[in-house]
Parts: sequence; structure tokens; C-alpha cells
Amino acid sequence: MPYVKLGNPAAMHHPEGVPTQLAPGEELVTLSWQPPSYTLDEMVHNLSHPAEGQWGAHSSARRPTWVWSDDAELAAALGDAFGCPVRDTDPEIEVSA
Amino acid sequence: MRVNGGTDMQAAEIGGGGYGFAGTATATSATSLTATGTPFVTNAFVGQMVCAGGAYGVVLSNTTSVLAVDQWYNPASPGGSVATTPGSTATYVIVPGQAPAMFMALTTNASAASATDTSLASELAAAGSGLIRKIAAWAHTAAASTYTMAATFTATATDQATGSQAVAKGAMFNSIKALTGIMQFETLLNAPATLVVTGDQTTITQTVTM
Repeated sequence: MPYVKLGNPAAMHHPEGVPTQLAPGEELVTLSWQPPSYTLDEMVHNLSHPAEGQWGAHSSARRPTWVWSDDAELAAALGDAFGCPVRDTDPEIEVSA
Repeated sequence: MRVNGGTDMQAAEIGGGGYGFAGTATATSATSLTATGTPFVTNAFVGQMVCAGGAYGVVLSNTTSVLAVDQWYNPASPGGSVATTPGSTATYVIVPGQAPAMFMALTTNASAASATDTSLASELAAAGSGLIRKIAAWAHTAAASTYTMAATFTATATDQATGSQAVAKGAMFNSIKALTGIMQFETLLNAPATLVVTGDQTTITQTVTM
């Protein structure tokens, strides 16, 4: 199942429905599982669509600082869609979910 | 909106409200597994996952000896093709907790969501439609109090033949089968999404606050 990691420089969440910045000034990692039954276009749309995609609910930044996936084709497509580099997590940043 | 059934599901899901069980089947089918003897309490395992033969099913109901499941899923691709039915004498495990509500359903019905709803009125379920229930993509940021479930729906020739569809409401279920399973969330869209011709596409992102 395609696993995606995105560098998030301006993470947001919604405690009690209120959009709130999480960890100002820090880059966090947003994780996503994309269903392998989806087409590549649908997976990219899920995450990156400016009005409808998931990214907008997780960040106030226009794009991730980087994107990685165990599916190289998906990673490349997301890098193109977002306009960000494809690479893995900075080893200095801990990832937990 | 998290409906009442969804509240109960989350309590069991996170707190492990349903303990598990392990045994050997005496019969299986595309939608059932029969245990050895009568080891179960009736409907004690509703909403839990039973794993057998490399697949899993979501328990819809159970008698003292038979688990009724919605279908058998491939764990690596729950939104894909139905998995092979486990062998008739497979060993099985019923997992503690609850199956995740990771399937999104749609309707053109624009009535308000209600906490007492247990199904999605007029759920879109026509064979060949691109708007039928499907698995959603999950995303979460470390330490955030929210996660998102997103699904992209693409209209087909079946939908075009039906005519313009103004999708008004979405819901999350623990089963991929239309009109089946436990509904966890039911939400009116900010604005209807109208799909007219083949290829029209809409993505619906549900943001869940924990």
C-alpha cells in the first residue's frame, strides 16, 4: 500500500474544529497511506489538489518541503504536482504517528 | 458529525472493548466462517475483524457458532478485489478492537446529518458507478489532534447515463460493501459536488478531530 511522507513546515490541526498551527517554526512529518486500488492520478489528487486535497487540511504552507514514497512513481508524481524535491526524512527529525 | 454508532465504535476501537478469540473453522463461505462447537456469545464480535487464510473479514453479526462477514479482504489492498475465501478448516483469529472506518460513501440526499442515523439515506450504490463506496486515503501529522480521510471519485459512463449527480453528503463506514456495516461519521459537504459527464472527478476530504 503506497506509503507517503511529506515534510511539513507549517503543520496545522483542528482541535475543537478550530484551525491551529502545530509546533510553530518546526518542520514536522505528515504521513499518508494511499490505497493501491487507486490510479496514480487519484492518489496525487487526494493529496495535492489545492481545494480538495488532504495537504490543505494538514498545513498552511502551499507545498511540502519534500516528499517521499515507497512507490517511486507516486513520489515523482507528487514532487511534480507540489513542485517540491523528492527525498527522505532528514535523519535529525524524529517521526512518530 | 460522529454518529452514535461511531462513538460506540471508537470506544471499542481504542479501548479494546471487544476481546479476541482464536480457533479452527469447520466451514467457510464468501460471507461466513463457522467455528468448532458453539464458543461465541451472540453478536459479541460485531464490528471486529476475523483473520483467516491470509485474509480478513468484518463481522456484521454472529450466532453462537457462525461469524457473518461482509466479505474477505486482502490486507495489502482492502479497497481492491475480494480475497480468496479461507479454507473450510482454516485456523482463525478474531482481533480485539474494531475494524477501521476507512470506506467513504456518498449520497445526493441533502438532509442534515443526525447522531441517530445508522445508514446513509439514498447511498449511491449502482453497479458500474464511479460514485459507489470506496476506500479512503489516510493522512496524519505527528502529534496532531486531527487526521484526514480522502477519496477521489470519478464519474463513469453509467453515471453520465444517469444524468447530473449533485453529491451532497458523505459518510465513513467500516465495510466496503454498499448499504452495509457501521457508520462512524456522516457529513454534509460545504457545497454539493456536481458530476455530469464521464471523467468528472471530485475529491472529498474528511477532517476528523480526535
